[in-house]
Amino acid sequence: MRCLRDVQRGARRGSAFSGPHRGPTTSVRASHLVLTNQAGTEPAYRERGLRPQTRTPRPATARCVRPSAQRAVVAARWWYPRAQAPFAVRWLVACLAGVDEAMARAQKLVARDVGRRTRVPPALPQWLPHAQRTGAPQMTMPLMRPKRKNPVLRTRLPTLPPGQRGRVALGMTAAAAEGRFELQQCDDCGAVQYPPREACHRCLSPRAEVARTKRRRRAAQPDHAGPQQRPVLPRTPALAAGPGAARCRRHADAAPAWRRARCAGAREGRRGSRLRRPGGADRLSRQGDPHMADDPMLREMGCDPGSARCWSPTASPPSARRWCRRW
Amino acid sequence: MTRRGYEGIAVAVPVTVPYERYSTRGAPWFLGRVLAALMAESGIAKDQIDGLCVSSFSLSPDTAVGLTQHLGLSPRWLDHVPMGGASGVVAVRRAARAVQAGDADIVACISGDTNHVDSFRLMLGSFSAFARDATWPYGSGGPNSMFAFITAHTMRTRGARREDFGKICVAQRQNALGIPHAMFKKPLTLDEYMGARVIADPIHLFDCVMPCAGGDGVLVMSEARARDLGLPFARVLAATERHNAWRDDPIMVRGGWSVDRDELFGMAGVKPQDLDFVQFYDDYPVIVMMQFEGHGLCGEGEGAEFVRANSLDCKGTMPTNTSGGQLSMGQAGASGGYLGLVEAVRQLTDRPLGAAVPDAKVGLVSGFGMITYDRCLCTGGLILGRA
Repeated sequence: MRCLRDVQRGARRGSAFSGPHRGPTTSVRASHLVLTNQAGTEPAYRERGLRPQTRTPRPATARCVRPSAQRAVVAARWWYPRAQAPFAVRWLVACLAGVDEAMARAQKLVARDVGRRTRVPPALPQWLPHAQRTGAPQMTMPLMRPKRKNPVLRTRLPTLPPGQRGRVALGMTAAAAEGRFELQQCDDCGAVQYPPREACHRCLSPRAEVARTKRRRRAAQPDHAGPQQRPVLPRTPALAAGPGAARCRRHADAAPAWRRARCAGAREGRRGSRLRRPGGADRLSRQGDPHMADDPMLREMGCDPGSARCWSPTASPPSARRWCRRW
Repeated sequence: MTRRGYEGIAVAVPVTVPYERYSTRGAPWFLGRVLAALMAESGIAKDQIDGLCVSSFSLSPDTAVGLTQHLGLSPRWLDHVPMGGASGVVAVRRAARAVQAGDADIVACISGDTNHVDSFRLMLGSFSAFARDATWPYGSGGPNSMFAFITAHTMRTRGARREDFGKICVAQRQNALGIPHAMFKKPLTLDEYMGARVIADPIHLFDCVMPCAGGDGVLVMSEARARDLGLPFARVLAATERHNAWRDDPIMVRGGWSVDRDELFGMAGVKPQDLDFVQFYDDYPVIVMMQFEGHGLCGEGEGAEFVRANSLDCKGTMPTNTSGGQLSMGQAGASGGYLGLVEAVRQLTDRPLGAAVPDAKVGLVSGFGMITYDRCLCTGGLILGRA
C-alpha cells in the first residue's frame, strides 16, 4: 500500500539531500565521524542517538579542501609506494589510469585511517564537571538538541509504560512524593507486603492500605529510585538582602552546596528566579551541575521550552528564540 | 453414556459482602472480603482451602491466577469462570467434580466485583467482540436495548404483557424487604411499575437492575467433610451447564435449560413440580419467564400464563428469587450469578436473610450469562437438596 510517507520519501529521494552533486564524500564522512567523537558526546550519549549540543570546530585532518586538489593528493598517496617512477610520471599515470578508481581506493584508506583514530578516546576537556569527566553517574543529563527532521513526517515516540495505577499502589507514590519510602503494613497482623494490595496476604484483613496504616520508614533513599525520581525539597531560605523569604527549591544534585549556602547565609548570586507553570515564582539554587537547568523536575516546574519544537508567531528564528526565552 | 451423579457433595457457608452502589475499592478487595468471611464463618484456616474458583468482571488485568498471589493462597485446583450470570452454577458444578475426583478437598467458590462511577458503561463497551462490532456502531448498545429486543419479541409472539413482567418485579421486591443490604428496600406497587419511565421500549425503569459493588461465595466440599467441620450444608442433587444452545433461533425465545432439562431432573430424581423454590437469574423479568418455560414448570410459550396463575413471593405457590433477585438486591457484576446460589443454600440450611420459604427441601438455581449481541450464551441449572 502506498502511503503518504512513501510519497514523501520518494520526493525526498530526488531532492537536494542526495544525488550526484553531493560534494566531497571523504571530507563529509570524515568530518562526521570525527565530530561525533568530540567532547560531550560520550558513549552514553551516542547510544541514545544524540548529537552534541554545540558544534565544535572540525579538526585539521578533516577540514574541507577543494575536491580537485584533494583528489590529486589522495591519488598520489596511493600510487607513491607502488610505483618506482619519478613523481611526475606517477602523477601522469594516476591521471591516465582513472582518477575514479584511485579515488575509491583512497576513500577506503582515509576511512580506515579515520576509523583507527576513532578508537582512541579523545581527552575530555577540563571544563567538564568532575562526574562527567570521570564517567561517574551524572545527576542531570544535559538537554540535547534533537536532530533536524522533516516536520511532516511522523515523530516516533518512545513506548511509555501504561499510565494506569492501582489505587492502593498510589499510596506508595504519595509517600514518595513527600520524600519517604513506605511499604504497606497490615494493621491487624503486622505483615509487610509489596506490591501493595487490597487485602493482607497473610490474614486477609482489609486494613492494609498504605495511606491508612503505620508507615514503615527507611532512612536512605531506595536504590532503585534513580536521580530522576529524587524529590526536589522545598526550603525557606533567609536571604541576606532583597525581598524576604521565598519558596526555594533545591536541585537534587546540590545538597552539600546548599547546606553550605544555608550556613553562610544565602548568597543571592547563586540563585535564580523561575516562573512556575501555575504562575508562582520560585527561587532556585544554582549550585552543582552545569546542566541543572535541564533537570527533568525543574523543567516540569518551569516553562522553559528547552529545545522542544514550539510554534512561534514570529517567522524569523532569532526573534522567535528570544520570544521563547522570555518564558 | 450417562453422566455421573453428584453424590456426596456439599455446598456450605454462603457469605455475602454487603452490596454498595459505588465503591472506590477494587475487585480484589471484595474477593478478599468474601474469602475472609468464608474462613471466619467456617472456622477453617486459609491453608486448608486447596481449591479456588473465581468469577469477576472487574478483576482485569488479573484473573484467578493473579488473585492467588494477591490473597496469599496456594491452591492445587484453580478455575476462572468468566460466565457472568451462570458463574455460580458453573462454579459449583466444576468444584463438585474436583472434590469428587480428589483434586481438591475444600473449594472456595467466590465472586466479587467493584463498581466505580462510569465503570459499568466502560465495561459494556468491551463486553464482547460481537457487541462491539455488531450493535454499538449502529447506536444500539448495552443490555437494555438487547433485552428490549427480546422482551418485545416475547410480548409479540407469546402474548406476554407488561403487567406480567410487573408481577414478577413486585413479588421479588416483596421478597427483598427484609434484607438489609438490598439496593431497593421500598415496596413496589404495580402502578409504580407501570408508570415508570421508559428506558428502551418496552423495558421500563423497574425492569432494569442496578449495577453495584459486592461479593458472594460458598464452600464446596464432601458431605463427610462438612459434617466433620460441623457446617450446615445443602446437597448437590444435579447440575448442568450448556453454552450457545438453540443457536439457529433467529431471536432468543428459549435458553439452554430446555436442552438438559430431562437430564437435570432425572439426575436429581425430582420433577419440576417438586421444587419448593426457584432462584432464577433475573437481569430482566422476561428472562425469569423464559426460565419457567425452560425448566419445564410450564409448557413452551406458556410463561406468561404461569406467572398470572402463580404467586411468586416466599409464601406463594412458586417462591421465586426469595432474596429479591438482582431486580431488588442490585447486580454486583459476576456476583449476580451467585445471588441465587447463596440464597438457595441459606434457605435449605434455614438461615435466610429475609423471609423463609416454609418447609423448603429442594430448590433450583438457574444461571444465565454473557450476552453477546442478541442473546446470552451460558446457561446452567443446579438442583440443591436439604441435607
